[in-house]
Amino acid sequence: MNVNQVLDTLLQRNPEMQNNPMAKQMIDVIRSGDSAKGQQIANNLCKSNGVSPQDAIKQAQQFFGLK
Amino acid sequence: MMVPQRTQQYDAFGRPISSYGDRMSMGIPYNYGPPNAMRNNPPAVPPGQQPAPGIPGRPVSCEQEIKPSEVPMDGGISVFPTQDLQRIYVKGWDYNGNLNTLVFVQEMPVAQSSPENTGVVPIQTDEIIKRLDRIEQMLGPMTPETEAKGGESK
Repeated sequence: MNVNQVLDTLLQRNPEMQNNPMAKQMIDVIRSGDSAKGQQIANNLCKSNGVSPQDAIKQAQQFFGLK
Repeated sequence: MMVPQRTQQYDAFGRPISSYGDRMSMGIPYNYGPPNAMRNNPPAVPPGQQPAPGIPGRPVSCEQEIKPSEVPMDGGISVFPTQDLQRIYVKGWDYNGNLNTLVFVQEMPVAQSSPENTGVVPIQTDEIIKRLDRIEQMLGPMTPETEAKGGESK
């Protein structure tokens, strides 16, 4: 299963995301494969939320049950 | 001559379906109240659906009190007025993951300028009096006769 399939499943399960311009923008960045842009957005989100990137990764791993 | 024929229909249990449609056969009661009573009722919100909220936000005492999680990431904005209404913080996420803030500050009313408290008129009056004094000196000392002549010549 590639990233696009994951995104498709995510959108199917959360159809309200289609009406969310921010979510659409971020999904477009993921689909485009622009990792630099994705990292920039992630860093900005961490900075805005007052969380270090390392802590954010840990929280994401816990959220998705990866650790 | 063609006569419309009505065929009797039966449900799954072999019971005839009445001409009133499925309503009676499905056990849905009719409303026997006055017809306008139903029309005047506001439409009920379907269960499970929340009514559309307004602009999110709340009164705050300072900007630091606002958590980023209070601003929805749906492209909209949140409004946080201070409790004394001196400032209004409007926050929203941009597409790059930055939380932007607009601050609206109450415009303080400007004090009405009056001649008494500005001091502009007394300075101008002084200037005018000085000029008159200079003119008077140039014309020479004013006597009642010259004043009368001057008054007649006008």
